[in-house]
Amino acid sequence: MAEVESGGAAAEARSEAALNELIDLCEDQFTKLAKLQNDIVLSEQDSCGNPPDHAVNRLMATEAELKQWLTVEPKLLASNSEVLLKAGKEEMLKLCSELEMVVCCQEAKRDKLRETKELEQKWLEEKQQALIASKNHLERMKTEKGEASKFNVLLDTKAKIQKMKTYQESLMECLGDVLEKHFPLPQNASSTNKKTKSNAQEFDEDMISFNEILELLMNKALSTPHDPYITIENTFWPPYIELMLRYGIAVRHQENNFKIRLETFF
Amino acid sequence: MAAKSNLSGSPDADLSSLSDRSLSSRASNRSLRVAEKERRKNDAEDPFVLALKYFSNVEAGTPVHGNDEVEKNLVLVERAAYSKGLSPEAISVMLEFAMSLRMGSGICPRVLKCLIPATVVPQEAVVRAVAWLGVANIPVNTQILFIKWLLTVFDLIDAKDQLRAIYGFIFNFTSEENLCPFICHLLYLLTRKESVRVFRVRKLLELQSKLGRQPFLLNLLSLYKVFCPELVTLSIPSQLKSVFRNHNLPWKSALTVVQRRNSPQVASSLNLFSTSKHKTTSRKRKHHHLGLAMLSSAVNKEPQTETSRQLVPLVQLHSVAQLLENMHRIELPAQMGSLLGSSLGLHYLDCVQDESALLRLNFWLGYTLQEELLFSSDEGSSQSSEESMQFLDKLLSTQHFLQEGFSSSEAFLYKFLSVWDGSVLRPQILGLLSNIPVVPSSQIGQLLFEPLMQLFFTSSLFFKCGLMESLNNMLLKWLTWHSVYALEDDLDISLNSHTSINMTLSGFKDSVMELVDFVGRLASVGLQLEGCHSLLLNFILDFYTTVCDMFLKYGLPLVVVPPPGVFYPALFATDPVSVDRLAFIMHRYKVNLTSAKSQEKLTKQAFRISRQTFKEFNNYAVFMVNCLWNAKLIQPGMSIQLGEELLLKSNVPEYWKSFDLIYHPAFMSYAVDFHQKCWPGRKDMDLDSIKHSKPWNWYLEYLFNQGYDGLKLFIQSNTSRQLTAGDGQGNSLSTE
Amino acid sequence: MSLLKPFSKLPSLNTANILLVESEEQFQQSLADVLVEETAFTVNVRLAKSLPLPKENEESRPRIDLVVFIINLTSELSFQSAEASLKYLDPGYLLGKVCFMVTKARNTSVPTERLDAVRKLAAVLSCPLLFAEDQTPDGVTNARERLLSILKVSAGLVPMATALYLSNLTRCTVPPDIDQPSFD
Repeated sequence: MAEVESGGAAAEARSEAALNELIDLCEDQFTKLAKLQNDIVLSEQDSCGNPPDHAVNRLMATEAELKQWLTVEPKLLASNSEVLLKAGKEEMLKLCSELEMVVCCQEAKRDKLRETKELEQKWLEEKQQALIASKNHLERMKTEKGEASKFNVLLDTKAKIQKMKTYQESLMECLGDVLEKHFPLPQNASSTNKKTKSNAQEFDEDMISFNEILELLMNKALSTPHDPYITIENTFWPPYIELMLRYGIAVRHQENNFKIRLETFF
Repeated sequence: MAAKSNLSGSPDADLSSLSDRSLSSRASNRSLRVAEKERRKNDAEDPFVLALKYFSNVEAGTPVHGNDEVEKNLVLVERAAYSKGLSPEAISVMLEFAMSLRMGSGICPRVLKCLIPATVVPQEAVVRAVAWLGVANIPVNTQILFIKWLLTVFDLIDAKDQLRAIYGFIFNFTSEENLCPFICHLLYLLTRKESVRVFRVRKLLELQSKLGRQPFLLNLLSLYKVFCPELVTLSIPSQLKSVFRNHNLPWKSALTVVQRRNSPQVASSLNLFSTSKHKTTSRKRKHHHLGLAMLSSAVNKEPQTETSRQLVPLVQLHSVAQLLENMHRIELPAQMGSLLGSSLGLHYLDCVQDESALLRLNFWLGYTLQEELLFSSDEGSSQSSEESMQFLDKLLSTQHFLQEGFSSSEAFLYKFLSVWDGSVLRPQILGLLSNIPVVPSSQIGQLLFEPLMQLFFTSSLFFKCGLMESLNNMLLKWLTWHSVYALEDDLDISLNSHTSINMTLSGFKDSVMELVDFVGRLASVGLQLEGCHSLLLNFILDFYTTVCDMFLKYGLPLVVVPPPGVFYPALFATDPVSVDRLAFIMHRYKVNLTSAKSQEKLTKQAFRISRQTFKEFNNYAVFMVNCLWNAKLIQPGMSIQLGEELLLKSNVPEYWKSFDLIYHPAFMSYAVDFHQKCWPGRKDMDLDSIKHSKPWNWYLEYLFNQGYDGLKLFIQSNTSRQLTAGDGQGNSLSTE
Repeated sequence: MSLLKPFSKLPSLNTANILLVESEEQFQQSLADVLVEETAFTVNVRLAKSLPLPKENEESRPRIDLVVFIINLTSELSFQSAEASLKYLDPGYLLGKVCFMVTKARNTSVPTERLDAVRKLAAVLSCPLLFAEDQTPDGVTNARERLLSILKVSAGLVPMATALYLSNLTRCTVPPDIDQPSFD
């Protein structure tokens, strides 16, 4: 099929011989085409019974095509020199337009590179500035470090400690207020309301407040950090223990169920 | 509430800063409120205002069913919300109304759904709502809806400090299984270094053992790991495959509509802030519809200074000098996307190599790219594509500046390629393509080659050229990374300092090999389909100019010669430029191979470049020398064979000379020109006379003076030039 | 049942014929308008809602070189209609003369399963699967370019290339983990 097209394209050769040769070529091709077409129609009638599986079909077709390509021989163009000249000319014109595109492309690329170069130069400059600045900064830090006297450091630290202390106090107060308001000691009334059963089982008059439990935990964690666990006493109201465990305030000892410690929040 | 947060929260400077902040924000809010009140006096009759009043005053327990008043007022609010959005105050009122369940939980989702902010969301309202979340008996679905809403408007919340202060409180909600994914997402956005604590890590790990390796937990843990690598020993996949799931958020489109409509007003309201800061805003506004960068950058104006640590927000800096001064104490903006638009921000990222910042940026990018670009064609308006283009250009320039890609843009690209039509955003997509870091050879086929091959063979010549160029740039970047990061003696190279993708040298070689082979296939068939178009050939030769120098220029012990489908079309090209470029490429191959060989002798290492490669190269070189120099077209044993009788039938006289330097179609015009100059008097042209030793040398000189340096180098290195034509022998490299 | 056959008629000189099948008839007209603008060779565009094609036009219908199924991903019907039409196509067409063109793939409302189903269908039939942005003029022009590049080959207008050859290069493949894409 392709030959038909290329043959047709060059068909403007004026010389009659050339024209005739081309027409002959075209007709040859067309006869071949018609014959093939005929063959196809005939073979289709034969094989319409069993359409093979699509993938197999495709594989077979591809293999057949491959064989075809392997055996195909290159063919010469028409032998008429006029036709060849014309075809060559067309080829050259095509090449010219292609090369024009190449030039355009290269010019665009060049401009782009120029832009990129300028941009990168700007960046380089800025980055160099950054490098210098950080070097200076380092230098300054070093001298500052040398100058800072022990006394100043001490004062600074003291002030910081003081600040932290006040802050901690305010925190503690806040915590106390909240606990007092929202976590009262189990009263008889409230516990009867909630669970008569637990009330009946073991209600200890010596219950300590939630506040105190927390204090115990915190003190233990601070005083003996290697062993922050405390043993659960009868004086701890069980729902509070449960609350602490559930909300991740306290953690049970891995081996001893009766020991808990404060979660390591720090 | 505050006390509670401190119980579980970090007992560091948060509280003190919190009180400072709320004071100042209250002061600044006061003037706004006064203005607001004035305005409100004017439209006291406004039914919308009355509706709001209704919702703020309605008594708890008022029935919803059959209550026309609620319905009427709610419709009013909804209408206002969808048309121009709700003011911060309206948001506060409605959020409080919904979350307090004053009229039961039934009406709650409906109210939440219409909470579309016109400008910002007041932080206090959010904090109150979160408090209600813990207290009131809200159905789980509504809780999820609320968190989703919070995630959608996160960038519009006017400050984040108080929200960060109740980090521990929010963290506790992770125990609710249904809420957990959304809470994790929220925490991801709020987390700072001081939020990362051992007990939280433990809790997350506990959850992980309970729920399995959920991406939301892994993502949060990976952020924790970035902040405190010593606390998270868990190994986390270097490239998390998924960001937080893209919830199909009901507010998103309404929000975009409202924002688009309001944008002029918002811009004018920005003028309230000092004018010097306005400069940054306008810079950042460029991509504000993509993501929500503009509004949040407006919000970033509020100084977020923390007295205790003296951080300087990036937005307060206006020059490189200022940046350099404060380099060690920069507070990154809440909205990481705004970094893309700020050259100072990029410098900061570049210098500090702050992994958490990159991670956050990456996270934001992944989200935005997916949301705004991958699935943005609903509107298909030229405006949105214009925005996409600018956004991607910005992203590309960022990658160019930082000299590395983002893993999220990589993931986005793979997705985009699989549904790309090959035209929309082409320059940007091809740009992103050339920026992707080395892809492991096991994945490269499926991720890149499959979609690219389909696009390549079904698209125009220009697409083919564009893709060639992009693949060439990709190879160049890979090779540059290799030459920069490769360790001298070891096989391990770290390709990217941040994403810590480690790759062995052989893995890297495999990937490069795959890429070069792939381009070789594209090039061979592409040339065939396009009739050996010079433009395409030009781009292909660009690629091989990179390939031929891999060993010497980039220190990669790998040489891959072009396939016949590229070599022969270039050698027989009708334009001299292509032949010249091929000659240059062959010359460089020779130099590379020679040097590889001598180096191998020197170090006595195992043969690293295969004999096959030498053989292929030699075949090409011999053929080329024979063709161009010795005027022998056919030799036995060559890779292309032509039937001799066919050539005889063509009636071309002495056809074997057809591709020598005189008769080669690319050089014939030069030969004719030279002949005329050399023998101006001669009437009949005899090009063969150039072959005599003297004119031959002149002719070569003449050719080389036309700028064919590649040819010159090739001939100098492959032939002994003193010899006359016909005597010159191609010296090939021996493979032994 | 009348099958549409690829070689039942002789080709005509410098001509390529393309059949656009789209059940919704939204995109095919605008695509046809730009397809016929090609000047290097004659392009005949035939439009159909579905296959089989009506019997009465059979005589005047030229040999069809390429059948394009346009599928709007937002509509399940569109996909089903294309799938049903495939039955009325001679297996010979599947050797490179069929392609699928999908529109609205980047729409949020598209369920991923449907895209996967289309991909799978195209992969099973070894046909190329093209994506098109039908909403913008640039998208339409690009869709035209891509269809023409396939059409040229399948109509035999490109020397040294056949429809089967090209389709072996461009056919859609299903990634092994289509259910769980590695980048969610």
